[in-house]
Amino acid sequence: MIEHFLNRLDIYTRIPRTPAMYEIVIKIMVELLSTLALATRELKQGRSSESVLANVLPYSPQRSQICQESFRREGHGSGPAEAGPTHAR
Amino acid sequence: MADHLGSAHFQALFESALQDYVKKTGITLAEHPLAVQLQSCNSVESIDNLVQGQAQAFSNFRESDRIAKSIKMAVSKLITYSAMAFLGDAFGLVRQNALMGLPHPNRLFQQIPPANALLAALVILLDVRAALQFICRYL
Repeated sequence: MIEHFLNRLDIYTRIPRTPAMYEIVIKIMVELLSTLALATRELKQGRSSESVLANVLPYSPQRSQICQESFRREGHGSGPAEAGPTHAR
Repeated sequence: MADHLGSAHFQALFESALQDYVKKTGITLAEHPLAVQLQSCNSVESIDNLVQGQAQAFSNFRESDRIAKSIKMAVSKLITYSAMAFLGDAFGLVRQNALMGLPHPNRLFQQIPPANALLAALVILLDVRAALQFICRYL
């Protein structure tokens, strides 16, 4: 989706510059920012839920199942054990 | 005069988007450490290094190559836009009232060019994703 926005933006930045074109470029950028905000919010909510679960269900089968389900949805194989190195914060 | 009004209109549009970003995410773009880091990057390579560092979290995904390619494409385009003078003409620098409603908002005004704001939002998204993966891995 972001790719589509960027491709569209690319086209508009190549044509003659008019106020109308400026407005379109800005509106595309606004939509891009909104899309990134939504994605960030969704991920942050996911992270919050996991943090809550970490306190409520320490080392429980439910937590493991939830985590595995989350990874399956992302296109991973059988679970978090397959995940590679993570980014150090 | 018309140009000035147009520029003010464009600034208002993007300022509104920045405020919406704060509402949705709870993150003030210009104040986020990664955005600050990004602002101090003065070459394409340094920006690319910063983004690719955040994108490492995707390295073990099945479609990691496709994701990496998409991220790289998005970054290169945004870097191009951030360097484009005409966008500066249209926007000037977008002023962001970082903490609206607080007693001394004037001293909290910060500036972030639109393309940099988008780059920062992308890097923050990658950072949040990396943190989520980290937590899931060690549950």
